[in-house]
Amino acid sequence: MATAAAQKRASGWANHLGRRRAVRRLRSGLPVIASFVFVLIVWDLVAATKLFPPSAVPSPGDVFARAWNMIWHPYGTTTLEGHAAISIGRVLAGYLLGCVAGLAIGILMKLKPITRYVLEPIFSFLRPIPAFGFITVLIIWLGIGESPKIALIFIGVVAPMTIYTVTAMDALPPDLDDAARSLGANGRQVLLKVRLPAALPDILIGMRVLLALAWTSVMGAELIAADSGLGWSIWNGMRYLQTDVIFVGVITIAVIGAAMDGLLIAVTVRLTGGWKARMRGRE
Amino acid sequence: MMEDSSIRVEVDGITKTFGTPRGATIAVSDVSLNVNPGEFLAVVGPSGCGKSTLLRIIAGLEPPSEGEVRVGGERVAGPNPRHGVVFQRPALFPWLDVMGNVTFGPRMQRKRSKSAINESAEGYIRAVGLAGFEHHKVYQLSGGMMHRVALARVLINRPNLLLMDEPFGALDAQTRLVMQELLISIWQSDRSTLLFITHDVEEALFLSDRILVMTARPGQVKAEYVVDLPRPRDVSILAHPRFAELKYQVLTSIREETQRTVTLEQTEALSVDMP
Repeated sequence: MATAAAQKRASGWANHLGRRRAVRRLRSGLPVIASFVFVLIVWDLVAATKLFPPSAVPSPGDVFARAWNMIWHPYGTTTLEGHAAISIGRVLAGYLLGCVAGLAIGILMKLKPITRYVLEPIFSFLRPIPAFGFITVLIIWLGIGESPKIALIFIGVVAPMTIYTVTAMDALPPDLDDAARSLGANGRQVLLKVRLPAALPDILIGMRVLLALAWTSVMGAELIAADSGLGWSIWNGMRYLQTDVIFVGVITIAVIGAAMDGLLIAVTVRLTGGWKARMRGRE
Repeated sequence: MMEDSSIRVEVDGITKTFGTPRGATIAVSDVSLNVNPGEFLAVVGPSGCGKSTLLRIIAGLEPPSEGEVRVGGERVAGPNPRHGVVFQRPALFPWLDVMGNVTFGPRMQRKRSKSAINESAEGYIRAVGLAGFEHHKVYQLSGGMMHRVALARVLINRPNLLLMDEPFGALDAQTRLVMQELLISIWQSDRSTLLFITHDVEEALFLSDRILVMTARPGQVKAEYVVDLPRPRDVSILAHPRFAELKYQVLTSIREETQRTVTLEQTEALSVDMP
């Protein structure tokens, strides 16, 4: 077999595919930009008809002006970047703690089945309860500082993260389990060196869902006993009928959420190389 | 590579029963067989005759319901890296590259140093014809290449027994032939005991020293054929008159069982509809 030639051919293909992918990405970016421009134009036209008062539908110009204003002058306790930083901090703290704890508890459940018998029913029971239901008791228990807000996001993330981890680790193709055992892996190694990496792509997909959930939770956390954050800005905008503030808050959350999601996708590709999608239909 | 590279397999009265929603199914019933040290034994039989179950029991991946398997005189109580298993699917670890897959066994066993493992892996990757592909990901390989990796991954454990469960069944005819020739050349150089399961009679004749035919479910050993074809073998063996003669005998023997399987399945399908 002319392996050197084959390898050269293979890497040639990889370069070729890489170039094609770059061109495709550029092309696929254009429709996205076009659709945003389209939405902005429609929005501006609707606002310009004056069918709705600015308190209901502010124009894009109003919203931009408000955003500009909020960047340079404090709105409430801090500026727009300040509110954004505070919300990002809360989301990241609660989300990351929840993900790490959920992953750890999930792995523990697989390592020690007894913990699964005890904990799984509790987590299954807790999971459908909207995290927001806990905000009042969290304030009673933890006060009005950062801790009840982070705890609220944590609670929303930890139970589903645990379930995602356990079910993803359950779903190993049986022949991979057999292969690992017959090659000399012990039970613990099968779990940590085979089941865990095999489950990683599914766990990361779960984490993307939970990131959106964490942003929903922060909205709730900033509704009560808060004086800062993007959620607080939105609620405050509603209280004073500053619809442009609501729009600024919502759009800022959307942009940050999309950026974080993109970051998570990049992490997924970095950690897995996208093997799951690439293996589809192979073997 | 030559020390105790082959070993005797004794299968003694193995029965395996599976619980199903419709009661117990007997997969294999009272199977006894021996594989001599260094022998290449092929097991053929109709689909669903329990030949894969038999292999899994010998591999220690499943306990028998009754009976005992001894490899090298010792009772099999679980999987053993010296008893290599090659499955129908390559069953590679897709998050690892070729090197990561091939070194998996020694890395888990932690008996050799990292550099010794890597050096040994490079040798086996070369032996299966994949030199230069060490750092390719699994999804960059063709089906035949995946099977080569699966083979190297087992060989690096220096098995004295190789158990193969229709390993080339999913490959196209040309790739399968190349893989068969590769397997023969590897087996001829290290002479491990080899148990090979297949439904392809030509494959069994081309590769093995001896063929066992299994009955329809519950699987039992029905007949034995000694493949007295000269070695080393290559494609020209297909034109050997003895090849055609043996092929006819084995095929006739299996055909009866396949027909019994079909009848069995029809009866079962009917009984499901009955109240």
